[in-house]
Amino acid sequence: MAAPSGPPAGVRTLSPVDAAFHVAVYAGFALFALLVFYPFWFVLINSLNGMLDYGVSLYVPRRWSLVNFEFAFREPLLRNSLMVSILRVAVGVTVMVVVNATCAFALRKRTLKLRKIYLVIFTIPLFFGGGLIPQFLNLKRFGLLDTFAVYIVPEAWSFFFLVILMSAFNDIDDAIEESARLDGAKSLLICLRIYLPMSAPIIAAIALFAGVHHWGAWFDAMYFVRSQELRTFSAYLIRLVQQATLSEELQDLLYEYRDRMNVQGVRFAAVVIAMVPVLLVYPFIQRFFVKGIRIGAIK
Amino acid sequence: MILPCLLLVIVFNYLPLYGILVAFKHFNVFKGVLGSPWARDGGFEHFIDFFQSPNVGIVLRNTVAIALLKLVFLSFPPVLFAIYLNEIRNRPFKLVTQTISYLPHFISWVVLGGIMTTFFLRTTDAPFNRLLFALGAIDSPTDILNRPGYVWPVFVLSHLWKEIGWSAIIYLAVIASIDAELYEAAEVDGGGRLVKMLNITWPALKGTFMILFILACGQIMAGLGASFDQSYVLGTASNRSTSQILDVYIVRIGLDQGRHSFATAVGLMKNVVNLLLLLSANWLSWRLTGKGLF
Repeated sequence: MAAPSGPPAGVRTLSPVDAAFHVAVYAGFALFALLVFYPFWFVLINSLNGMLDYGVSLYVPRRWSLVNFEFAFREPLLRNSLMVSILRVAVGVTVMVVVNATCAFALRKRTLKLRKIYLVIFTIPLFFGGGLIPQFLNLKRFGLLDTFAVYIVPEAWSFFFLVILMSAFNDIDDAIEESARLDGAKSLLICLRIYLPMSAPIIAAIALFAGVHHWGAWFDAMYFVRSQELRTFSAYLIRLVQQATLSEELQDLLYEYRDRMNVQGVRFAAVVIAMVPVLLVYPFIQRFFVKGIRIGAIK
Repeated sequence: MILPCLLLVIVFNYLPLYGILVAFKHFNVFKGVLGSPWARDGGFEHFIDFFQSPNVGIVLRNTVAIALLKLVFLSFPPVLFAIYLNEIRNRPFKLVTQTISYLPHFISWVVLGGIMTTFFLRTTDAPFNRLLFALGAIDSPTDILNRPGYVWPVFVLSHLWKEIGWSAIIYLAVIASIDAELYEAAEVDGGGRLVKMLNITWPALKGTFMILFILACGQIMAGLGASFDQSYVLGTASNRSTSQILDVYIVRIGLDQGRHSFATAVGLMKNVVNLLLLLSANWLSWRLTGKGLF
């Protein structure tokens, strides 16, 4: 019986060596899956654990409780950083998709004049850049330090999204564009109202990727931004996990909860809050992306 | 419609190149890049300082060591992962395993750092210490995240844990496109599993492997993919002697301490070396396999 992909398994009965090989492969992958899965389970059960001591649970919470999450959502700085991150994902993803899609739409045709030059301009930054400090000084000169825009604008362009979108748009029949032009539609309208919806699966995959990126971004929020009101959730988390000294807001609230939980519980809850949105979207991303890579590899 | 993208690239990728001048100056924020005085020794003061600074040897050693370890231990496992996963005939089992294997790729190092600091906590009841106790490997709890001697294996293994499933996707795609008749022909000739793997599967994967390997070589001075996040998140005062890599050093010196010129010089050297490594790896690949990236 040949499986649809890969080499045939052979119709004969398995020899002892083959059987042992198969058992070993299955056991190996089962162990691997467990090894990958368990750390996630570990933080999840401990975020749901309402014990006062600093001990951890291994299999299920020693005492079920939502107190860690209740605390997290009452902590003003955490709440604020969560709002910043949600806003960042929404705005960042929209800008990223529109900017790259319009450019890909224009660059998609091989007949475009100067196309090669544009592509070279877009490729060079992949291999050489000014480095961190010149980038920092550049952001400063444009007045982007300590603004929300520093999360959105410098990150809007992406070489990989551009290339993926170019190949997706290239697959769309030119006749559609021509008939739209006859009806008097302008390029921007054709791109956003026809080409974008027609490439919905790829746009969705890119949007999810961009979303995961913006959700996890922390460096710019720590070094290009000073005000606490603009801190992203990941930047909040890194401080919560790393720093022994806690903010006053956190300490005050901890004092209020002192007979119900401790700071270790907040850490677990914050890690889980950071994971949940990603866990919710990742099955969709991986499906699109695996398909995309398969197509790319076969081409 | 190319304009917005072009403008973004020019402003945020090309304009900063002019800031490289800072590396050759005594940069003063108020005087700006052009107004600041030139550095001593014909502008190369900071470069000379770098090689005379006592920390540099350590930081360079960490960066290159972590990169080389990752180059060796992260390049081959995804290939083997894909080859063995392909041997699995039970579709649901394969699907579940593969889906779980991608999961950590989507989790940021910040979150993973949070998981790891609790998982490897220096208490008797943290999972890792319990395991070691159960195996009889230790008598008192260890704190491997903070012990310099364990940093490199921890970095390599946690990176492998995070990325092996994701990196294997591309190899699985190539394997899926191999003509099944090749395997049938090999079986008719009496070729075993190893023969098929070495003579059919590996040759098909070699091209993809080389491309990824060349690209990785261009990142050696950055410690190889995502090492910055890893080193920053898992780096502590007690393990700095082995965990700090060049990129983190640049942040600490340049942004935390405000030594702009010095950090720019270090960053410039790093980028130039990376580019040279990429070009040499590419050249070597052309010489050895007749294939290359560009």
